[in-house]
Amino acid sequence: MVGVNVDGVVFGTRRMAEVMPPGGSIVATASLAGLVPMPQDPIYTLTKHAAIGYVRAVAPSLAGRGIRINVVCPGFADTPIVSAELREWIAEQGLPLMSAEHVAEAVLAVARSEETGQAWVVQAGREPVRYEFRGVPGPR
Amino acid sequence: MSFRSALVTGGASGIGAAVVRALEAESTDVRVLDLATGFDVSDPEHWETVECADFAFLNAGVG
Repeated sequence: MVGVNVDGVVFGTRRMAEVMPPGGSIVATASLAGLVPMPQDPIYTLTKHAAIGYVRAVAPSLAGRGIRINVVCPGFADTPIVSAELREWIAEQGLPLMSAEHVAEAVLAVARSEETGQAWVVQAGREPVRYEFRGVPGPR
Repeated sequence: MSFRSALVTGGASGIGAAVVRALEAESTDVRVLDLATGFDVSDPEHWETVECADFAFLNAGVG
């Protein structure tokens, strides 16, 4: 899981830094599990937090080449990655399951935005929402 | 603004496939990179075969 979810983003971004023309745009897929813990799957949570940290950290060097990079964090969507067991839990919680088309629309909106290094929450019934990270307490 | 060319990892199913459909509807030239078609995103050698694109959706994932 770490290989696909983390290395896939890192190796893909490195390759794009070599071949993508200025003005290019990269979007990586994380998950709400990249922003909040998903106790059902700590390793999935690990990989998605990693993807968000990587995108935020790599954005400034890509900006020097005229390339934008952002990461989307969808809630639950109706796709094969959501197991039957998880579907049952989602239904019990009364949570909506987004269509893949809704997420795709959000991905393309993020891809076209002028912003870079941002994490975007994708939820049912909403446009993508830029996630605001709190600053950390400084030393004293 | 539509992209002239794009690549989508994990583009054979789920969110990736939906993005592929949306891009193709805009006449974007889309390359699908998916384990189902023999592309392993976690293998750096596979990436060496990938050429330029205006948009890259790095979406492949397992749960």
